[in-house]
Amino acid sequence: MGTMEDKNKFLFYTILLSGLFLITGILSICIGQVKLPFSSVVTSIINKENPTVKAIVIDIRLPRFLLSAAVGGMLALSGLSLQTLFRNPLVDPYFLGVSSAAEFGISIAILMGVNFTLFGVSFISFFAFISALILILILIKISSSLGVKSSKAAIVLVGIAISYVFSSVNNLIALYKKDLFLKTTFWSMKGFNNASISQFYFSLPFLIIGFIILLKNSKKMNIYLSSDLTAHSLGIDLKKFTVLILTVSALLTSVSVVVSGTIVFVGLFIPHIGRILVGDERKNLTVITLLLGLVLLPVFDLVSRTALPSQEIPVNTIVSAIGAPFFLYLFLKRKNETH
Amino acid sequence: MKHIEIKNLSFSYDKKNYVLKNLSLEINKEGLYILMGENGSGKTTFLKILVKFYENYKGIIKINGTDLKRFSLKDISREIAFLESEIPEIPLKVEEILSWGRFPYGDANLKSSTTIKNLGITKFYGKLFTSLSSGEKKRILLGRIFVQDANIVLIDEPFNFLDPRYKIEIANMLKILAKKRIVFIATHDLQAARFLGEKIFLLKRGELKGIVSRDNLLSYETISEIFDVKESIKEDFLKFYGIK
Repeated sequence: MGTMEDKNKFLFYTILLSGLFLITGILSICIGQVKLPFSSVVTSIINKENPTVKAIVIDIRLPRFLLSAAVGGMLALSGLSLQTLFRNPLVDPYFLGVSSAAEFGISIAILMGVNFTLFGVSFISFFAFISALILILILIKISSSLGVKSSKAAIVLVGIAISYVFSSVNNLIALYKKDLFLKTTFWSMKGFNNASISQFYFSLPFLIIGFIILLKNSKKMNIYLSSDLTAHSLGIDLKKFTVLILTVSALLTSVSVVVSGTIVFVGLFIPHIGRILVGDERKNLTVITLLLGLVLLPVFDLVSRTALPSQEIPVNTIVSAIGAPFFLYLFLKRKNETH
Repeated sequence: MKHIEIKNLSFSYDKKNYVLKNLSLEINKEGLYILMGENGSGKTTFLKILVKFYENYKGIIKINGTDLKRFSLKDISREIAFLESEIPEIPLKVEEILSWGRFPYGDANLKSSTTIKNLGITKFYGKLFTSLSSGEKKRILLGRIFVQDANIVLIDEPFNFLDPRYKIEIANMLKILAKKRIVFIATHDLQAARFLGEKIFLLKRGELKGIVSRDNLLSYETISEIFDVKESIKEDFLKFYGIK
């Protein structure tokens, strides 16, 4: 349900963000160490003339843009689902402890000397993914065995507790294998430096399915915002709903960590911007949050690889440096408007 | 069909202390019914059991002739509407909240609802729920119950947080609601109970102590039956409620 005004607003931002997405894509392809005019990109791809231009665009810049967009979308949707589940806009998807679980998997993989790829994705990533999945299963098991009321606080507590266990094991391993610590740290900060199109293909189904599940459950998410009791009395099975939303959120975060390392804060503030643009209604907010993620993370990544002339800044650093003050500004501005 | 039948209902959270003890009652006609008792007497627990929020109870509950345990959550949300006592902070528009009443039926067709127009809450359309006053919020939440259009309606403490004007407005909405439905209200508000209740069930520490009519509610015998009125405040208590 919504008024005409809501629908127009939603339509406006959908078109605006879709346009921005295309512009960001073009900029990502053209800007970098080697500047390529858009016209030469188009002609060299169509005419198969200039193999260097083609190599830069098809093998490096396009995958990097697509992957950063997909990760932006996944983290943004993951944040939105978790913020809905906790009825709290200040929740970050990394609260579940997914990233330290993934790092643990990487440590194990490196320890075992795993060094091969499957479908173009490093097998180290699969270790990270499986490790994160195990954490998710533990979280779901605990949240569904506890009563409905206590489960939400328990999820965060268990997530934090398990992530401490993972990182202490990591540290123990690092004591004996000094170079390992460096490797896992490097891996968790990798960003989109080595982005490949296969990583994008690996992420895409998760993003699409996650988005569809959230969209299909948007009415339930709206009702759930009121209270457990109201949601229950309207026929929503709270246990099933909690497990579904938790799974979507944790999977999206895990896949993001696996393909791009840890990028904090995106999942926290992108849904918040969405909320400022179109309000809390979950159907519109899910779409706008996805679009914002698709646009903003590639923009941050573009800044991270072009801000300094000779060196890349880790995208996580850029996100925090730009995102945090921006978030504060929006938060304070909104505070002043409502009071 | 509108029928609630409860036989020997007992319930405990911890299998030791029973919150409801051997409770039996039957309602088979539309109208306003009150469950009167002090805080902690088991009123809210009783209502929650009727919408399957707690399931491990002892005894038999039949809704419209069918055992409650045989209803799915979705089924029960078409038979019984429930309004909790708290007013949650919902960051959504008024018409979105009203449309929830259609959720159990799998549609969101609010426009056809003439009841909403008659309730005079269409003027809040387009407004954020969080921007309304407590009384206005309660009217919207009750409006959702009208949209849900179940034969049985359970309402927990509808008069909490309301000033006198809104108490009357809500009470009048409840009267309209009860013309065609069983409306079962849990409250400790004596004046509201006397104003509304056709039949008043008295609950004390999980036990049903009796059924009185509204004319017999404000007698010392009844009051002392359900409330632990200490000897030291007895006189003030009687004076406050105008009991002789």
